[in-house]
Amino acid sequence: MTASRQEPPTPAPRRDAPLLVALTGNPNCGKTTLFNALTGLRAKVGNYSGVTVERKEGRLRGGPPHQHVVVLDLPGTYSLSPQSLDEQIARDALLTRLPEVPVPDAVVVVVDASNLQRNLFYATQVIELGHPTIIALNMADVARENGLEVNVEQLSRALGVPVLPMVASKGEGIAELRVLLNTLPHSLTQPANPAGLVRVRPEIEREAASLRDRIAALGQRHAATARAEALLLLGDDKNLENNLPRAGGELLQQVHEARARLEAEGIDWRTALIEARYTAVSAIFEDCVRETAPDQETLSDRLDRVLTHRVWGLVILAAVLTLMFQSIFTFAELPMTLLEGVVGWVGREVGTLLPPGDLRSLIVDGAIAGVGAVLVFLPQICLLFLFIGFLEDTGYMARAAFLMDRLMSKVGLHGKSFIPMLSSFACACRASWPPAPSKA
Amino acid sequence: MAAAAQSITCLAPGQAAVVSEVEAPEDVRVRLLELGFVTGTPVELVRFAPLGDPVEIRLRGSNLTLRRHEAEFVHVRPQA
Repeated sequence: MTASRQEPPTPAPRRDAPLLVALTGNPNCGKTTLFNALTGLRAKVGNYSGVTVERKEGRLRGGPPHQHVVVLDLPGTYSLSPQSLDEQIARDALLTRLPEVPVPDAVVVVVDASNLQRNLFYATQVIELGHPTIIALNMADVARENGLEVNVEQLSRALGVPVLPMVASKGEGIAELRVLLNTLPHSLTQPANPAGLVRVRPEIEREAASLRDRIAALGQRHAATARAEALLLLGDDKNLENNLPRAGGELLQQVHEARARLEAEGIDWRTALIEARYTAVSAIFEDCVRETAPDQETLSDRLDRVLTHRVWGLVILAAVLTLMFQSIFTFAELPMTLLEGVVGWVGREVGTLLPPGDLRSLIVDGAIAGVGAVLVFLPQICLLFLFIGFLEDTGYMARAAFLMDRLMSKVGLHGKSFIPMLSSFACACRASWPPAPSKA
Repeated sequence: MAAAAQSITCLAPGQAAVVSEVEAPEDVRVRLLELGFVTGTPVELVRFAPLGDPVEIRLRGSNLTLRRHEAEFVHVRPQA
């Protein structure tokens, strides 16, 4: 249990306890790629207590031996106003409402530079919480290809936090981030002006101020976090009773009263905050991003026109799948024959060693033949994984999902499930391992 | 002269418009607003998938793909 704190915690060096870095961002922004690059593949996977939400953490590689840094990969989320349990956990972790997650020593927000405004919407929400924050500006290469030049220094000044450009999938920019994280807590301070990022109307600021004081009195958070929490409670209609901080029961009444006052003044508290945030984000975008090639069609755009075409798109999909499955059957034949031979040979050799009877039958016809029958499919399955990985990496999987989504959604699945579903014609157990978790 | 508001799915591929409002059940409305469909945002309908669903929309410098029944909640005024 953390001790109760009324003031923003000064960075007292915790030589025994590891430092905690929370990794957050929109779904599909490259967060997992960055997490793998920072921690190697030795992540510890478990659950948050009492819920079926995956908790993934790992130790930062390349750090000093006396000071461990733990990176916690929070579920991808579009907003601190949660629409799902995953997003709720991400939000609760950042608001220090989960008993097993202490106040983070740093928060890394992964921002997809090619979807900048949408990602900045979330990033500004996180910065407002007041934790020491870094923006990892990922997919800088895609943004450049699309004709967008981001002025990183200007963006950093506008947001009040360091911004590190990177291409996580190519390993660019990761070293700089690792250095920053390994020299915590001295390398990072709290954001320059979290409360000034988004200008809200004075009426809303007034209501937020009184709520903020009551939340701050509950302790265990920065003053900036209290203000951000106040704004979240004010605008968050869904599930308000369950979203109150612990021991914040009487806040419910105060939030309702605050909203009633705002409604009486003709203010739609539900949308006012979202609009204010996008106004701020738009302004930052205008200041910091330059369009070098406005509306120029990239190679990717030209390909998309064909790949998602009503007729040609489907023809190409059929061709790709035919090629894929035919290749799998053809290339797998030789290894499969070899494996069958090996399994058969092992069975015969073991058979000659054992006396005839039930034991020999159990081992040769049961264990060896049984395991062998499964092993024989290994070449096919490996090839299938290889092809699906290839489709995913080239980006074609997303186009296939786009084409097939309507059919798949009729049976409650996502377009991405199309190819694994087809593979069930080859092997049913393979089909029930989706190659990538479904994301909103 | 401002055209009448209609659902974004009534636009033709390549057509530009401006968001007038989002009419949807509360959760969906909030999420669509958080994705950028705030009143006054310029949008462009890029394409429909071959089966009419999903639909790709361009707004705020990037592309977004929505299921048709969700996109239908976004009301826009087409630009000339």
